[in-house]
Amino acid sequence: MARTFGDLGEARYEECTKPKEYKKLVFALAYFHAAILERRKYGAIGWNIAYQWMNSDFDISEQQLVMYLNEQPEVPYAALNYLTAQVNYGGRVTDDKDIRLINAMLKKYYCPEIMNDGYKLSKLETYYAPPEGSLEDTLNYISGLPLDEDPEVFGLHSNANMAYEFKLVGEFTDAILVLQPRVSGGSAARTPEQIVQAMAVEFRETWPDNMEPAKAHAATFAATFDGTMNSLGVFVGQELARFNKLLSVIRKQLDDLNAAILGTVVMSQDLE
Amino acid sequence: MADLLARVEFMSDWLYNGPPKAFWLPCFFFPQGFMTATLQTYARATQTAIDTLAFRTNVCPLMAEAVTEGPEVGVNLHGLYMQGAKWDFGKACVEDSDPKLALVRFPVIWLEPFPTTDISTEGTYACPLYKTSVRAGELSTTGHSTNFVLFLALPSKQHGDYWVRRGAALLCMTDH
Repeated sequence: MARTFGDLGEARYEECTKPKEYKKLVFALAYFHAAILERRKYGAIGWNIAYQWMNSDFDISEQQLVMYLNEQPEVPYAALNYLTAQVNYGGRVTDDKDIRLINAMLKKYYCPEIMNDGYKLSKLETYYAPPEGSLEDTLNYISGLPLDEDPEVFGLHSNANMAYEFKLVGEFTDAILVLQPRVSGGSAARTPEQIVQAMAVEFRETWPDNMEPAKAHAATFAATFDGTMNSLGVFVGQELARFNKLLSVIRKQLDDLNAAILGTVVMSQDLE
Repeated sequence: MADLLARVEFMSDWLYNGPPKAFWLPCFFFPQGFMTATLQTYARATQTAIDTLAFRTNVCPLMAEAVTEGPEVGVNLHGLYMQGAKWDFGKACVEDSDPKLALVRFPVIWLEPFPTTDISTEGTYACPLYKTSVRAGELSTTGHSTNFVLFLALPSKQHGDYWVRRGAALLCMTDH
């Protein structure tokens, strides 16, 4: 945020004919820009897809903000919200649920209440659009903000940090696992082939048979009054077909794997 | 592996013993199809056009184990999880998660087919239901992502936007 305001420059900051409205709203815009970028680190709970927003998105939104404020007697909140969230930033957003989110994010900041000095940008007390002042005052306020943000800053629950931490730890443990040796020593230890074979035999013995639609309960595929099968019956039929296919494929693979380890068929790329 | 066997058991039970009282939605390959089939059943029975119908979401104050009756119309669903929020049994609405419980089991939902125009969205959050925690998917012909099943209108004291920013969603499965 400090960089955003630094790039803006003193002259630009004082240029608008509605200084109070401009300063409040440009702060809201910078906060919005930072918040949507930061949300990406929380994975799917932040955004369904991580988008590559850039400073150009901020620049054009800021220019439109100045233009609308200079040209119109009132602040056109609806138009500003639409242009910024839906057109400028939203142009990159391809998931319809993310569109809903980006609109909701901006609406929290681009709203008439922001002119009120007591209006908080999140549930926390620390974050608000500072009272009208010089660029230096605003930069001072920004540098006073905590470095370690609570997910609440971006509208998320503190639990979102867990998602982020799980992701980090997962990457870390994966890296460690890659470094581990594949076989353990000792003559009593079983070879990897023996371990795999024991597992394959065990799975094969307990593997369920395919389900047989012919033995269905009368209600499952019951016909409706006009003689056609009921819709849920059609659905369960389709699902059963998929399940049976999956069961067959795995059964065949288990058999092949056993045979391959015994040496009766060639070990193929797939089985390996 | 145990998960696959549990799914096969659910499907076998449906096949050999008739439709269950509550459906384990995450079991299916294509839950979207299940939703359509349910609507179609109702549409045929009442001779109404399927595209004038939608689901009214009724969250039941119980978990799957306690279901003793199937509904007269529509279906009971179970096996869903909630992320970014929780169900408050006392207030019967969506509330903020408890600390350190990022993903919680969601109670049984009764989906009741209803004329679209008569469903009030007042005081609700249109909560997306996804198949997996990845949430993103390919864009399919229905205009939605392949990971997305449908929106469920859940009662809420806060404005829906609050939960949108929270990233609150229902999921069909956990990552573990």
